[in-house]
Order: sequence, then C-alpha cells, then structure tokens
Amino acid sequence: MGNFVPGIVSRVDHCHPRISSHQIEPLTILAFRAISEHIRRCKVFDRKLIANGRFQLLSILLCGVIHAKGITWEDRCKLCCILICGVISDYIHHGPIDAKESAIDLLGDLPEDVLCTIFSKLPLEEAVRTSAVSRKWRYLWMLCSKLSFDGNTVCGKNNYEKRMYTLMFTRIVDRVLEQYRGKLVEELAIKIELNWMLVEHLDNWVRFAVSSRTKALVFDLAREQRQPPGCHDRYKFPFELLDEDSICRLQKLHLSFVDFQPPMHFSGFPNLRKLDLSIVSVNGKDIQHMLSNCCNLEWLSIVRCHLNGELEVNGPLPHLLYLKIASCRLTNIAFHAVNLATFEYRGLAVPIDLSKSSELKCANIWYYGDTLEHTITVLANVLINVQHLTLDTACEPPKIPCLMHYRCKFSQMTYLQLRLVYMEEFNILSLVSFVRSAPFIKKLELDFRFPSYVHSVQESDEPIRKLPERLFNNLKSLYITGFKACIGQVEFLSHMVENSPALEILSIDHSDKYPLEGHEQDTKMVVDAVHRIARRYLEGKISSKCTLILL
Amino acid sequence: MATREAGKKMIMLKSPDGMEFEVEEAVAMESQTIRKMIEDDCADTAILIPNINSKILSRVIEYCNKHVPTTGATGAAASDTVAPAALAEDLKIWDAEFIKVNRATRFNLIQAASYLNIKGLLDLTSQTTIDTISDNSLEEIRSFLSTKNDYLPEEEQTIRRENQWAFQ
Repeated sequence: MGNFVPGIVSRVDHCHPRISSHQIEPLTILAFRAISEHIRRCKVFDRKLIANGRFQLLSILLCGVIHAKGITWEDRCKLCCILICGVISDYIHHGPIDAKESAIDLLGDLPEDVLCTIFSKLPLEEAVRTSAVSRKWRYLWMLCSKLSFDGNTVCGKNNYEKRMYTLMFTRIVDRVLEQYRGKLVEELAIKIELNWMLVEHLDNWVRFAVSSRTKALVFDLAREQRQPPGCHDRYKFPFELLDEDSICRLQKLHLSFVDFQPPMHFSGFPNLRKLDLSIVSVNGKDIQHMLSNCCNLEWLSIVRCHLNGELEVNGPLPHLLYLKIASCRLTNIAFHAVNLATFEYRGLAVPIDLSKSSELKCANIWYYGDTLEHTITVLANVLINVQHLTLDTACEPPKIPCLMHYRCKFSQMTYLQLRLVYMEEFNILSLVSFVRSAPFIKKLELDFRFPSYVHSVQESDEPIRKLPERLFNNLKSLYITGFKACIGQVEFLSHMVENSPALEILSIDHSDKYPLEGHEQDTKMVVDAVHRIARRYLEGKISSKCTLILL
Repeated sequence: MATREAGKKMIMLKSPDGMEFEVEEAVAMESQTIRKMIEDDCADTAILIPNINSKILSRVIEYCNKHVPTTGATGAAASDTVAPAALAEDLKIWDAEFIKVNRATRFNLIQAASYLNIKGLLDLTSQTTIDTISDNSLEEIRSFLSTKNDYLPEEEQTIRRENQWAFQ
C-alpha cells in the first residue's frame, strides 16, 4: 500500500490539477484507503458503485465511518479532501469500469472468425462503409467472405439509363473483386437483369470464383417482371471455365435465367449441397444425369424450367432433405431420396414417385386444378408418412358425386391445410371423403374461395343433409375461412362438429384468407347473417368445452 | 462427474473467478467446445472456462438451458400440446428479452459464444451489432463501437473515394 500511494498522487496530480492544488497529503490518502479497504471487506458497498458515480450514498457512508473512527468534524476542508481524493484514488486504482475507454472497440478486438461471421451477414455496402470508421477498421470489412452484389442496392439510388446502369454495376463489382484478388471468397452472388453487355463480365466473374476457391455461386439474372414469352437469350453458363477442383469445391449453386448445358459426360458436382435453378434452359436428359451424380445434394429447387417431359432421377440422393419442383411442365417425377423431409410441388397432378422417401413429413402441393378424388389417388402413394400437408387447388367437380370410402390413406397426418377454390358448386361429398382419408388429424384448416357469388342458406330453418357418422377422435382445432354459409358449407361444418368429440377450438371466418382479385368486402349485414346461420346450425351440436370464434 | 436422480449426467463448469456451476450434460453440450471436451473425455472433474467471468457464464448457461432441445418423456408431452411453431415463437420472445443487456455485456457474450462455439447465441448476440452497423451513420457506428475517427480528413476522403458506391 505504501509504495502505491505516491503513484496515486502523481496520477492525481497529472489528471486533476485542480485537486492537486489542494495539496493533499499522502497521509490522508493512506487513512482513507485503510477505511475504504475496511468498508470493502465488510461488503458495505461494491466498488462498481463508486465508478458508477453514486458518490452521494458513498459520501454518506464514508462520513459515517470516518465519524466512527474518530476523525473530528472540525477540519471540514480536510474531510472533504479525504472524501474526494479517496473516491478518485479508488476510481483510478480499480480502473474505470463504466468508462468508455474500457469498452474501446470491443468489437474490433473480437477474434477474426467472429468478425468474419458478423461481416458476412452485413450487406456488402454496409461492410465496405465501416472502412471509414477508423484506421483499425480500414481493412476489417475484407474479412467478409461473402460478396453479394445486387444491382438494385449497388447502384439503385441513382436513376441511371440502362446502359449506364450496367456499366456502373460492372465497374463496382470489378473494383471490389480487384481488392479481393488473391483472397479466399466463400460466396459470390450477382443479381442483375441480364443484357448482352454483361456476358463478358459474367464470364470474368466465374473466372474470379474459380481462382478465389469459391464454394457458393449465385447468378440471378432474371428480370423483376415476368419474362415476356419467347425471350430465350439467356446467359450460357461457362462450364469450360470450371476446372476439376472448382467443380469439386462447389457447394451451392443458384442460377436464374441461365442456359445450362453441361458438356458431354459431365459427371455432376460431387460436393454440391444446394442447387437452385429457376428459369433455366436445360435438357431433361442432362439434368437427370447430372442430378444422379450430385450425391451430396441436400436442397434442390427447380422452378419454371420447362423440361417438357419426365424428371426421373435414379441415382440415390441420400442427403436430400428438401425438394421443390414448380411449373416445370413435367409428365412424371421420380426421386430416390430416403431422407427427404419436405416436398413442394406446383403443377399438374402428374404421377409422382417418392416411394423410397419414408421420412417425408411435410408436403406442400399446389395443383392447377383437379378433382379431390384424383388428387387422393395421386398423392396417396407419395405422402404415406406425411404429417403436415398443405394442398392448394382449384376443385373441379367429380364426375359422379358420392361419398368415397378410402381406406386410411394418410395414417400419419396430423395437420391438414386445404386451400380450395370452387369454380363451380361446392361439393361436400368430395371434401368429406378427402378429410376422412386422414382420420387422425389434430388440426384442420380450410380456406375456401368462390370466384362467383354463392347463395347462403335461407334464414328460415332449411333442412340439411346428414352424412353417416365417422369420428375424428383427435381433431382439436378447426379453422375455416371464406365461410359464406352456403348449404354445402353448413352441412360440412355441422358434420365435422358432430363427428369431432375432442374439438377445442372452432374458428369460422367469413372473409377470404387469400382474397381473389377484384372481390369486394362483404357488408356488415351479410357478415351478421353468416354468423347467425353458423350459430343456429351449431346450436346443440357444439360441446361446452369448445371455444367458438366467429369472425 | 456427479449424477443426479433421473439419471441425468451433470457437468461442473468453473469460471476463472472461482464460481462453479453444475449443469446437465445436455445443456453443456449446446456448446460445441464443451461437447468436444466431453467426447474426448477431458471432462472428468470440472471444466475450467477461461476468459469468461461468472456473470457472463451464468448468462450463457441460462441461454443453453432454454435452448436445449427437449427430449424424453416431458419433451414428447410438450410437443404434443404445443405446436412447434408456437414453441419457436416463445423462444424468439425469450431471446429478445435475453439480449436486452448493456453493450459491454453483449460484446462479452459474443466473445463467450464464439469461444464456446454456440451458434444460436452467436447469431443472437451479433445480430444487434449487424443491425446497428446497417442502420446507422458512420458517426453513430463510431459511438456504438466507442471508437474514435483517427483518420486525417484527406485520408478519409481517399477511403470514401475508393469505394464511393457504398457511401452514397
């Protein structure tokens, strides 16, 4: 303690000339330190409190202690000095706790890999901007190993004419890539609408990706609006620029508006995990062959690539977890993916073979229009173990309306969402048959849409059909939107409520969850009428345990 | 290694300031660093966690406790009644509450998450920094980072010119 004191004094002198002018004696400081040490041991206060500036409480405490220790009050000035000096010395001794100095650029001191994570999550321009923060931050942004250039953000704020826009974009990209030359780049992403001026640059950027050992490549060259038909001038993907190493290195590939023609005997990307193709011209045979050889694929999406034929991938894809196929004009789909968990499809109800995918739990199907009867026959083979199905379709009326008795088709299904558009009459028999094919559902959501006007049942007690009983013992929640109280809907509702003894929540919403264009909101009068009808037909059927919500 | 009723393995974690924390093995294994130690049998008695004081360590354990995947009988029952989506939503709200700490603590948490290799916590703690950098002016970033602009004016001009597009 003794040799510590002069240090304090000199530092006090240095930092606080005004205090030093009071000529504080080392002895008083010593006395104070002894007291404060004593207090600290007694845990009367925490030293952080001092630093936090709660001087007042501290002063009171100290006064009390000093008083008890017998230092007289006469020498008020001295006491004051002791107090102030003590606080300051303590402050200096224990170091500033709250002061900004201790927090100096904590972020900049983080380990490189953490900074790399942080920078890689920032939009590139924000990362670049930090170069002007301070000298230390001058090159920190280059820890960012994901380079993503989006035409809209890179030169979006200026309304350049198209040619100028492209020129600006290529210059900016080239400028940044120049700074990155010789460094590893995990991901290179380019998003800009394709035009002929870009082709040469795109080739160069592929070269850059090869030399920077890039693992993920994104070329999103589609235009924002829907492509006009017959526009086929797509960027030809330069397979010739990839060497064997880069083909092996590639883990993620996302191409949009690209002409994808693998060379003869191309044997796939052996380490590719994620493949996203949208509006890509590719030959059916080529892609089947290529996919069969991408055995590490985990995520695959093929959207609006008109294959005009079948897509049968025979090679096993044991790691594939997610598969999406949308608007590809296919006649037939088959995959050998034992671990597939999620399947999304949009298109015609063509035969799908996923029989090896016993782990398939979640499916999202969007048919352009079909009868529910046919839908079941197609999906039953695909969705054997599915727990959660979302089906979106325009329901066509069945040829012969009747209550079908499917044997339990979807025995694992617990959550069913149906988004149904009825161009023609609502058919309760098809719908009940469909729901019955999933007898163990816990949650059912139905979103109805009717493009044309629907008549609700008359307010006078109109008799409704009663279908034979078949219980849904597990059904706990039933949500219906687009409830217009037409006769079929009322029949369906009453049937479901009567056959769901465990129902806990029933929500009936007259409005459409996914409104059709040009549809007006119903007036309050209509809504009230719908609610009245629902209440009347549910009376006596709904159990007291069930919460009814009318919207 | 201590074992508690229910047959759950317990792990002792020690902070450099001498505090000891007894946690379930599954909770400790949320940290990839500790997982590796356990798997390599380096966790016989207590694991000393250097560089992370007891205050931060207790917060980290709190996070891991909340985020450890529920398994066994109680877990199955929970997932029966509560939809996974609702659980995820709850967790999000909890996370938002958890991260309401001062700046120094947050940076300490980033460091801890990085050292202990807990991806979720690292994502959560670094997100605020990411948001701050993306939403604010340079001056605000500097004040957030408690760092001073030590460039000469002409130097800063050069830097801005180098990547002008990012400063528009």
